Amino acid sequence: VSARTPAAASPTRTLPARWPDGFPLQNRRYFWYFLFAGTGMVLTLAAIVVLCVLRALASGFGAWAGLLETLASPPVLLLNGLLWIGVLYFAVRFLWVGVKIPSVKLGPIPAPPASVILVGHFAGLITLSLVLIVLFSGVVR
Amino acid sequence: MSVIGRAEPVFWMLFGAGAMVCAMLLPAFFLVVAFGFPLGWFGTPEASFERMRFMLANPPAKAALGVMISLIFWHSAHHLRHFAYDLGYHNGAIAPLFYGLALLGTAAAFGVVSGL
Repeated sequence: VSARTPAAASPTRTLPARWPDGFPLQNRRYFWYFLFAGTGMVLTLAAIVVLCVLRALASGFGAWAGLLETLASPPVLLLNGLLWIGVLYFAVRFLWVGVKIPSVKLGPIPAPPASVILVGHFAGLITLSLVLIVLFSGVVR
Repeated sequence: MSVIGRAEPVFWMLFGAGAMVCAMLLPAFFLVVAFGFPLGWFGTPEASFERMRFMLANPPAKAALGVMISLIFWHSAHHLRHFAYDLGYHNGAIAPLFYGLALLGTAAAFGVVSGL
């Protein structure tokens, strides 16, 4: 049985499919789901910004300095600020949702409690973020 | 079952790996690229240019960056594909469209990083 295969015609009469009540924005749960699903677009735009920066880097110092100037203009900063908030929202929500996924039990080792997984996720995010920022800041040579 | 239907586990794997990249690495990386360098938090444009060129000069760093950016595109494509289904756009063109764009993004990512 596959969800992709259309069901065989049934003699039972059914109503046509309709949206659930409160879909998509009136019901709180649907609203947050909607927002989370929409982050797919935010992440794509953020990746395109990163690609533009790398392209300027590959093109030489003139292109690099020109792009940094553009990125420092208030409208672009505002746009990138909104993108960054979207990326951060995705990260927080993804790591929070991850706690709800049942842990894989590895042999005799018991699965850690959910609170440990939650703290571990966010500790990982903070640690990796600090490592990246320190690496790119030039503090470590 | 279509080719895309048979390859669903592969798309799921790319989606999951991309989610980890987006959650764990992208917030800091985007902060550095979109704010740190333009606002001069990490020195002058000359200094940041030299440092970035130096850091990304070796092939493993280029490959890692290419994979990282590609996974963001694959994650987004899978997420948006299923979002489109939720919105009622359930036809055969949705999956090829989003995965095609992810493939295009992958080619662009590796094209750009190979030029560094």
